[in-house]
Amino acid sequence: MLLSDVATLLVNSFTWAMATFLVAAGLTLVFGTLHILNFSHGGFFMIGAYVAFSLASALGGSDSIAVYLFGALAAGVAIALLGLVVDRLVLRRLAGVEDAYVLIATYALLLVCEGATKLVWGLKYQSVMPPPSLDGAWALGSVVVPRLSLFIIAAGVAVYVALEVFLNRTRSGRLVKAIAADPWMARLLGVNVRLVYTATVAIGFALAGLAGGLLVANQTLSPTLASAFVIYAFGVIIVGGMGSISGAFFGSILLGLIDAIGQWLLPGLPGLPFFVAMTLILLLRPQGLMGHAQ
Amino acid sequence: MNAAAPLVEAHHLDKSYGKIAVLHDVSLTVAPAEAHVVIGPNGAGKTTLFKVLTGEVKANRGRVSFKGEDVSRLAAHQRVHRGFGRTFQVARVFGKLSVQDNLRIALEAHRRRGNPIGGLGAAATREVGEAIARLCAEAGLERHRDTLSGTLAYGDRKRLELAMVLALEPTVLFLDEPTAGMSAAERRATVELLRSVKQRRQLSLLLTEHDMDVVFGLADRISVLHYGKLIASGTPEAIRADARVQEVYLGREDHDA
Amino acid sequence: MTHTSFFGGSTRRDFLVLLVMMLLGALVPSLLNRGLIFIAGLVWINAVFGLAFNLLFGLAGVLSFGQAMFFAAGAYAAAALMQQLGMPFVPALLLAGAVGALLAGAVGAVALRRSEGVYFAILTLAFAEMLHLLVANIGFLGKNDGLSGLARPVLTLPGMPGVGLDLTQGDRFYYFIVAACGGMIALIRWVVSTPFGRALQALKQDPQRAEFLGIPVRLHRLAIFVFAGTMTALAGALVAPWAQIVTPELAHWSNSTNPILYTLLGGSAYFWGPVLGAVLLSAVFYVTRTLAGISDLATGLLLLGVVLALPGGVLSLLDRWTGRPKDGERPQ
Repeated sequence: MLLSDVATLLVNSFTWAMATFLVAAGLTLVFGTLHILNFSHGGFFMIGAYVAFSLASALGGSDSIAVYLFGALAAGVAIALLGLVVDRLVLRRLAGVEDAYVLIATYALLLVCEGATKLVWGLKYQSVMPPPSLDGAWALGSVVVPRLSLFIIAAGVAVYVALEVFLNRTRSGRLVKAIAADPWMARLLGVNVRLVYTATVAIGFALAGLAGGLLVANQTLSPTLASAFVIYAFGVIIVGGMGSISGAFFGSILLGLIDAIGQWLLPGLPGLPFFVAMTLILLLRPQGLMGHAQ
Repeated sequence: MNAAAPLVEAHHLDKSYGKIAVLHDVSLTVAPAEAHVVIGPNGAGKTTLFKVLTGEVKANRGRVSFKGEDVSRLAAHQRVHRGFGRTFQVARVFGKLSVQDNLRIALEAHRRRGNPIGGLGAAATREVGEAIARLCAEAGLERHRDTLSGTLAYGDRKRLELAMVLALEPTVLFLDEPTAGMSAAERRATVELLRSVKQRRQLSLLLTEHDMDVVFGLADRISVLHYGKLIASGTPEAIRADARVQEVYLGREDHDA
Repeated sequence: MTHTSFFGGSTRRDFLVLLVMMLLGALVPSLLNRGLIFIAGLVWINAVFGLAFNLLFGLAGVLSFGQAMFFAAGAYAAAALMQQLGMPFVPALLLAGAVGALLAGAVGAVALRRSEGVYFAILTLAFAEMLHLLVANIGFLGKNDGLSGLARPVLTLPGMPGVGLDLTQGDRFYYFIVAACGGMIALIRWVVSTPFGRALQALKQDPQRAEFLGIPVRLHRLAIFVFAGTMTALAGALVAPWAQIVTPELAHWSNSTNPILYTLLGGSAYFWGPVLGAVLLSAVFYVTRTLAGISDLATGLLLLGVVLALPGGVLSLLDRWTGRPKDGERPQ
C-alpha cells in the first residue's frame, strides 16, 4: 500500500472521526450531566444543518469562511433556543420517569424532528457549497488533502479543546462536573441545580446545531441525516465511555481508524466494521475506554 | 451440636473493591442445623461476606464450599438450587403481585430448577396449590392471600419473604439483619420464629445482626468481623469472654478519657 | 394467577376474545374494499409484531430498539427462500421463523451480558442497523430495491403434487394471515400463562429477588428474547407474499419504533394493548399517508404524548372509567 493511500485513509478517518465527535460531544455532555440519553440529539443536529443551509441560500451562498462560520454559529444559537423550548416542554417532564420511558420519549422526539424537517424542507436532497477558500484540495507530494477535511478536523479539535477548558478550568464548567457527579450534594450546598441543568441542555443543543452548521458542506442534506449520525454518535460515546468528552474524542478517532481500515479490507459493506468494533469493545470493556466500572 | 462435616465453609476469602480490601483471609464454617451469627461494627465487611457466600459477588481469592463441594464458581441461582436461601435486610418481595402469587413464584421456581421451558404438569400444579395454603397458614397470612404484597405491613412482608424462601426447601438460610428496624416485641417474635423454623426444618442459619439480645438469644456460634478480618469465632460464652472482642466493641478504658 | 396476573384477565376469556376477533377479521373481505383489506392484513401482522415486543417490554421488562431486525430477517428469509430457492411457502415460513430464532439467540447472547437497560437498548439498535446495512448492500437480496414480484403462494402437501390450496386468487391469502396470526397470538397468550411467563413478571419487578429464588434471570431473558424474535420473524415472513415486495425499509430503525408505539398507545400492562395500538395506528397512518413527513410527525408526537400524558395507554383509561381494579389494585 502506497504512502499516499495510507495518508488518504488517515485523513478520511480523522475527518469522519472529528465530524462524529462534533455530533457526539453534545450528546455525551447531556448524558453525563442529566443522565438522559437524548436520542433526538441527531435530529437537532440535522435541523441545525438545514438552518445553516437556509441561511446560506438566503445570503446567496457562503462566500468566505467567516460567513460559513457565522452560519454555523447562527445554527448553534437557533438550536440552543429550540433546545430550551424542548427542555421546558419535554425534558423537564421526564425528570422522575422510568429509564425505559425516557428512552422512548427521546426516540419519539427524534421522529418528530425527522417529520418536521420533511415538512419544512421537503424530501429533496440538498447541498451546500463550501466557501471557495475551503473548496478544493491541497496537494502535498502525491497526497491530496481536501481543504474541507482539514477544516473539519480543525473544528473538531477546537471544540474538544474548548470543552475541556470549559469543564476543567472554568468555575462554571467545574460546577457542571460537580453536579454530574453528585447533584444531591450540590443542591445541599445551595447550587441552583435546575439552572445548571438548563444551561447544560442549552450547550448540548447548541453543540448539535453548531455541528450541523459546520458539517453542512460536507454531505448531502436529506432527512435521513439524523439516523445516519445518531447511531455513529452513540457508538462513539459508548466506546469512549458515556459522559466523557475525552472518551468521545478518542473513541471517535479509534472507531474512525477501525472503520477506515475495515473498509479498505472489505469494501462494499460500509459501516459494518464500525459496528463490529463497537460490539467487541462493549463486550470486552463495557464501561468504555474512559468510563468508570459500575 | 454434632461434630459432623460442616455444611457451609468459607476458606480464606479475600475481597477488594479496587484498592480497598473489604475482606481479608476470612474463613469460617457453619455446621448442619446450627445458628451462626456474624457480628461486627459497621463497615466490617459483613454484607460483603454474605454477598460472596451467596454468590452475588465473586471473591478475589479463596473458596466457598457447600456440603464439601466447591461452589465458588456457581452463580447465585445455582447455589439456591443446591440449598441456599437468602433474605434481605429490607424484605424484598414482588410488590405488584399478591401474597399467594409471590408464594406461587417461589414454589414454581423450586420445582422448575431454572429450566425456562416446560410446565409443571397437573400433579405438581395441585401440589403447588396445597403448598401455598400451607405456607400462608404457617406465616399467619391466610387473611392476606389476595392482598398485594406491596401494601402489606412491614412485619407481614418479612414473614412473606421468609415463607417464600422456605418454599425453596433450603438447607441453609442467609439472613441479612433480620430484625433491622423492629421494635423490641417484634424482635422477640422474630427470634422465636427463626428458632422454631430452624428446629422444625433442621436448617442452618447464617445471619448478621447488631442487636445483642437477638445475637445471644439465637446463636449456637458467633463469629466476629473487624475491618474485614475474622478476629474470633466460637460459642457465645467464649466470644463474651474474648479479650480482643471486648476491645473492639467496648474500647479500652483509656480511650474514654 | 388471580387478578394480579399480568394482563388482569383470565386465559379463557382472552382466548374467547381472540376467537371473536378472528371471526370479525374473517368478515372483513366482504365488507371492505381491496385497499382496506390490504391494510387489515397488515394490522394482523403488526398486532403480532407488537405483542412480541410487549412480551419483552411489558412482561419481562426488557426494552429492545431493534425488533425490526427480526421482522426484516423473517421477511427476507421467506422471500429469498421462495423466490430464489423455489421453496414452497409453509416450509419457507417455518424456516424464516428459525432464522429469527437463531438471530435472536446470537444477538441476545451478546446484548444481554450487561444488565443495564440502556446498553441493551443501544446494542439492539446497533445490531438492527448492522442488519439494515447488510440487507441494503447484498446483491442477491436486491440491495436497495429489495426483492419484488413475490407471488402469493399455493399451499401444497408434500408428496401430493395435485392437491393444493390456491391462495393466489383475490384476497384468499388474507384468510391465511388471519389464521396464522390468530395461531401466533394464541401461542403468545399461552406462554404468558405458563410458570415461565409468571417468572418473567417476577424478574421484571425484582431481578435480584428472582435470582435468589433460583430463577436464572439472564437465561430467562434470553429465552423470551428468542421466542419474541421468532414470532416477529414469522410475522415478517407473512409480509413477503402479502405486500409482494420486501425492501430494506423493513429493517430501518423507524420500523423498530412501530411496535413500541402500538404497545404504549394501547397500554403495555394489558395483553391486548399492542393489538389495540396496531389498529388505532394503522388508522392514523392510513389517514396521514399522503403528505411527506406528516406520518413521522404524527407518530412521534403521539408517542411523546402517550409517554408524557398517558403512559398506561388507552386501555388504562378504560380501566379508570370503569373503576375496574387493574394489576391487582384494590377498588376505592
